[in-house]
Amino acid sequence: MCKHHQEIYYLCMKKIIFLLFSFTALVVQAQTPDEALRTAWFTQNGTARVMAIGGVMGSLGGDISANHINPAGLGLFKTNELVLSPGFLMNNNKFNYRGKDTSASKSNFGYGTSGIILAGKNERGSKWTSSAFAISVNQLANYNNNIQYGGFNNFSSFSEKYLEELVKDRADTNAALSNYIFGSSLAFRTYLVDTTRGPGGAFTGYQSLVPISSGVNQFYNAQTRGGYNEIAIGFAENMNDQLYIGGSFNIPIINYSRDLFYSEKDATNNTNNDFRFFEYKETYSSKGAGIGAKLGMIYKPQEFIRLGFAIHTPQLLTMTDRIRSSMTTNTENYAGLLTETSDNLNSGNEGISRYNIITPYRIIASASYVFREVNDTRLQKGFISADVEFVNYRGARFNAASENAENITLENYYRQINETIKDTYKGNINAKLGGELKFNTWMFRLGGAYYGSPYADNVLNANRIIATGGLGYRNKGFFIDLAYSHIMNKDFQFPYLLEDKANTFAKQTGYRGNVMLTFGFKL
Amino acid sequence: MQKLLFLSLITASLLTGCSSAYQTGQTPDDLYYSPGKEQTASAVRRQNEDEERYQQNVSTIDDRYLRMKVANRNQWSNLDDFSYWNDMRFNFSPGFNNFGFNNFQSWNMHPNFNSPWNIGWNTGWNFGMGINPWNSWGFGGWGNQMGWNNPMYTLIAYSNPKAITPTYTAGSNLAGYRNRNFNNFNSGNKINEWATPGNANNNRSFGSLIRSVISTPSNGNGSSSSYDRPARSFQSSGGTSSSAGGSSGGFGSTGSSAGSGRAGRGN
Repeated sequence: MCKHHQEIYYLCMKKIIFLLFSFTALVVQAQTPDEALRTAWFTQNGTARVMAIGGVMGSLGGDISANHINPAGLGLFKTNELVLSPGFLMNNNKFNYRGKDTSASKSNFGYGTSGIILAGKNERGSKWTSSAFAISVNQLANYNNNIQYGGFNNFSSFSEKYLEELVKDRADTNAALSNYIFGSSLAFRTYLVDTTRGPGGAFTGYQSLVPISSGVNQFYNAQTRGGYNEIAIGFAENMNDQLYIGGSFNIPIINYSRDLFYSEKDATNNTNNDFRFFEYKETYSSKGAGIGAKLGMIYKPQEFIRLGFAIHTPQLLTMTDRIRSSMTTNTENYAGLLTETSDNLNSGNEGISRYNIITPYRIIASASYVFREVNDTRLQKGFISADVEFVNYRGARFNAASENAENITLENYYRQINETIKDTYKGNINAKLGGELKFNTWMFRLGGAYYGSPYADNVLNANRIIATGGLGYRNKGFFIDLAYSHIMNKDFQFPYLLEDKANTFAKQTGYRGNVMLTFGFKL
Repeated sequence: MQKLLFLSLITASLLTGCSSAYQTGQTPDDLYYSPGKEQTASAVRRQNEDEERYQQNVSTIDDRYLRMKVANRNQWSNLDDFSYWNDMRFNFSPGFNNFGFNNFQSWNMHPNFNSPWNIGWNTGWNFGMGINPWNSWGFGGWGNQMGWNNPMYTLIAYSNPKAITPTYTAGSNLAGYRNRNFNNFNSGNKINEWATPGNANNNRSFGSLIRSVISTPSNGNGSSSSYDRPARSFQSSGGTSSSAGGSSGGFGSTGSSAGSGRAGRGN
């Protein structure tokens, strides 16, 4: 065989091997603990009345939001009601990333609990004096937001996560070229990442072209959209106006999408350091639906006093994630300006991943003082109520979709991610307090809430503090409520995570303003 | 969304007209107290008439029976008074909780029927009213409801996974979550308040994680400069693998284009 034929033969073999890798070696793994947190780390949403009193509805009842918090509260209804709750959110985020302050805002529509309640007295002679049925929808979490920060960094680079990955996986250059088409392969193909060679040209590892000692200006922007919606079909019974029990069957529907733009630019004007900039773009969506349940009870030990208890089971959702990504790198004299896309490496197709997620459970305990529980609305003067909620953030779990049940690599990955969730998050308490003053047809409300950190690490002492207020009017079979929630955030955003080097993060402060309008009708 | 709001407002105005029952008088606030549905005058009158007729009928039957017994106790002593003592009006048993009368109870003896939920229905929430799953709203039924809630136990039956070395990926994207060392200041800046104290990684000791490069101007003029690049080396001998991969946001590939090589370097 002549030398020319030998070269053609080796090239063909190389192509065949690449083809084989394309079909066999690529596995479907993109889920991270962040995704689990999105299904649990959010503040209470509901009707304007509930929003105005800090999200409290563990023991009050008599509001359709109870269908999503403590379904026993439906048992207080003996009349029919139709409720609609449009809302509006304003995100005003502030970030401090490595000493640099930035801000980002985004506004959008949302909605609170909306639905219908059908209730009535039971036949005489039964201890169960009345029953109520409700079907409603609520947006548990609104994902519309704008996360944007940047700053100078001469300690670490986004590109280092690709180095860690390739080296830890002991990836050779063929794997680096083809087996990480939504990340490391883009970096390798655009020469953001290249090999390192030891004595005699031996392949010793990977390097990033980022001149870290002189530093880069980093920029992160994520535009997120969508929501975590829940349909609840609830039923409750009332025993002698003293004990209420109820349950709701839930259908959670998640629709999340994110457009990510990340860049690093050379902080110097040096055109001979083989790096000008790189940009990474990603469009990602995560959608799914599932089932869950909520059960609760409310007990009145004496007049004016209500005690409530509810449990939200974990929700089981089947999710489908989709991703496309691209990278552009300018390494100046090293390889010049190059762009690579996942579409180009995947025959124009997006990456698709299907899996199941189990959300954390919640337990709510609550107490209320209601003055007075009488028919004459002129004598109903007001109430005060408090909820304490435990959320087991570390209880979220991933597992493979049935179609991938036999995939050992996936199973192993989900075991890893579940272990990581247990180490990264913890269970914590949310406390809510609210009250209302009622003057016959007009009502004035105030409330507040504190949401504890879901992060196991005490350095990441995130929290959410909420101040709420609102007013309501109820007359002639019609009621309208208006509420404003001022949600002050303290959170931490990581642009990338490294295993072998200290991680950097942006401290997020600022607030989300939530205006909720509820109007309803007695039917 | 604006359309939705507009539609909602139209619906609202229509429904305002519909809720005529509460146009006069007070509108109940179920949160405080619910009197039940407000009824029109004719409906109340009709209901009262029904109740009177019912009471008359019942009292007539009762009176006749009692009068007969009083008139001649012996003659009517054998008359079956089962229906009297078992009048449904005096049965205060909640829901379907009728012990031996409950036909559904026999279903519980069927092991297959119960099997998916068996654990929940027999784990301490059973208050002794039988294990009838349809006994939903009696006392025992509530216990069963809690048992039905047993996805709490079945779905969260977390296993205790052992450390398993993945076939293809070391999961470095996950390992980063466990790294609790933080650095939020740059070299030469004052120490940031969030930096973890006492962390060796907070200083500039990159150690083996960098690679020094000396650059020379391409046109040959000027002086050369040196800088560091991030780098990682394979920890030990053992070779590399072409089947590595998958965790870099590694969604499945459905095409074969990844088989192409990368562009050549410009220099």
